[in-house]
Amino acid sequence: MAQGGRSLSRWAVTAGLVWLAALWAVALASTRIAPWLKGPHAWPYDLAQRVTPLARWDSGWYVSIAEAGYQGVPWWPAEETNHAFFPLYPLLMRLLVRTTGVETTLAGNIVSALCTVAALPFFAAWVERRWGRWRAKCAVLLMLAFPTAFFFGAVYTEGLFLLLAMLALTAIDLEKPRLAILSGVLAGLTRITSMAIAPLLFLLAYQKRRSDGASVSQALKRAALVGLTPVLGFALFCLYFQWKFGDPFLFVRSQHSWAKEDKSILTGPRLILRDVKRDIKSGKVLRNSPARTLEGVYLLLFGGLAAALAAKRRWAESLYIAGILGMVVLTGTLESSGRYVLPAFPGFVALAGLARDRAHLKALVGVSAALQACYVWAFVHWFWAG
Amino acid sequence: MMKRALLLALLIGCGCARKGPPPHEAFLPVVVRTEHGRWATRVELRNPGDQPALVRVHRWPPDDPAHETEEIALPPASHRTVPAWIPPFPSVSSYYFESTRPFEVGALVTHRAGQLPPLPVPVLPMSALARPGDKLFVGPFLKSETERSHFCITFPWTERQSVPYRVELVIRDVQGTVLHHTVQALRGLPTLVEDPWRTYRLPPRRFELEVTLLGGLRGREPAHGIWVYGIVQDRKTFGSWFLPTRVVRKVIERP
Repeated sequence: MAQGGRSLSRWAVTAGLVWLAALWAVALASTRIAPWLKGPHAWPYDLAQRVTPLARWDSGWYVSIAEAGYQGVPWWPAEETNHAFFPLYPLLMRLLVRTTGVETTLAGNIVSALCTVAALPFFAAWVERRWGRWRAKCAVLLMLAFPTAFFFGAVYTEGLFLLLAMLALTAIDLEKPRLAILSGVLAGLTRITSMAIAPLLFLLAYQKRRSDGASVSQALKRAALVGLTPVLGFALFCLYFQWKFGDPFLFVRSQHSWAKEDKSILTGPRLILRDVKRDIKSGKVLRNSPARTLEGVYLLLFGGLAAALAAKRRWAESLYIAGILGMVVLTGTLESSGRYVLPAFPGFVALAGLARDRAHLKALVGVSAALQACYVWAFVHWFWAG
Repeated sequence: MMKRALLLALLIGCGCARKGPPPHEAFLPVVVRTEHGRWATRVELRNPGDQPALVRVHRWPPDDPAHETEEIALPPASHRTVPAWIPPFPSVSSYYFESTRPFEVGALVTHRAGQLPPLPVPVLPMSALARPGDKLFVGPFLKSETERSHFCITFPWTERQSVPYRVELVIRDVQGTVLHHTVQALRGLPTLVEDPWRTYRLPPRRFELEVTLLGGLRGREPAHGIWVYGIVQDRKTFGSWFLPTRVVRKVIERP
């Protein structure tokens, strides 16, 4: 069994390394394919000149935190500032820059790559414990081939979050509460998606303790302890802002500044519906904003996958995906949905259920990977990719 | 054995034969141009010698990557204007010049209408720049109904691979009371602080600025270092002048 576990881990790491090599090959090749074709961006000259091809858009905010920390509080209400971004990932970038001297975006790529590759064996083992080996391998391949999976290797927090989430879940399965708590707190310092994983940690910790023979109250205690850790991480982030800027809700305020129009979490779903209706009515579903339309498709896909998991009575996993989708809907825009669904890893397990044999799997992975290559080209050339 | 020794000697030879710095360099800390050319820095290169000179100018930042480095040929006893291929204000650029032959640089910030006296820009030798541990003092800065002032922390193109740097900023009033103290990162471009009172939430008083280069965030030694300049502008006449910048070198303690 242990031998089998090691071989699955080795396989997962190998799959991750192959994906990483392919990702960088496509990214580097993309810089040479129609180099004159570039979307607009407002990055300063030096940054645009020195960054790696897998550092675009929001990567710039992480670079700013890694190099200069959080900036001063915004002067005017709609000022976009780096307070909307969590601190752990840029902190790791800074650590790597100061210890090795590498360029900051390269440090971000290294952190992302290491985290993603390190997360894969945990993910594969977690899936294997619940659904078996075939499903585990399919889920890993489908996750890596997913059209927006390149964000796992870009200067974004998805790879780090995946690692922390998998560490927390593995720690729950292996009865290592300290590791689960640490991973949960760190996940809360990584991205807002951690709020969606809190119920998953709670439910899985509860189920595990109950299956081990603990009483309801004992199981509830452990589940609450583990489940609240991402909230604790987020609270630490808010406390830091209170100490540094005298405003614990600066993160929330900054998020509002990013909105192009006045909105709240209550008006979010209405705004999304308005945009969708407008696109359908105008008959330009793919012409008005093709990226946004595709992002809506990812949202629907993962909604379906959450429903499929619920039908199999995988309530905790289904709830986690629903939580992530709910967060997207509350933001009032479909933008970045394709990226936000990446940490919804149980969705890839459900997706793997579609691969009934190798031929199915090859077709799914092939189509998905080809789409990912297109996304990478667009991303490298400053076109919106999520 | 013989082959290895030859290889080693060859490698050592290559290492020793590394190209040294060009013997003639200069740093122009500020080159600006406004969007419609109302204000512009006119930079002129002169060859005082009797032999042709090839001067390489490095703009940081340029308006386009193709304009980052340009070679300008100067026949004996001639002069040429350096094209201002830089982004418009509020971006400010600096120029770094290098040549194997002697050359002279002159720079004036001029007003298009020509009604205002041009502002000569100091041209610095590379040795003037502050290295890690050195302190730069500039001031006094003032903001009143008649005058306003700003400062900029800048560096030559040679530093682009070593930044970001850590710099310590201390702002004191004329009595020496510390009004602001911070350690901040100097990122990849010159940092212009247009309104220090607003940026650092200072009381409306005169102040002196002290900037210390602490070192590189990436652990890389600066090639030459950094510079700080301050400018005061008369609100009524729009006439400007540079504030004096003083360098206090790091005291190296002997064991």
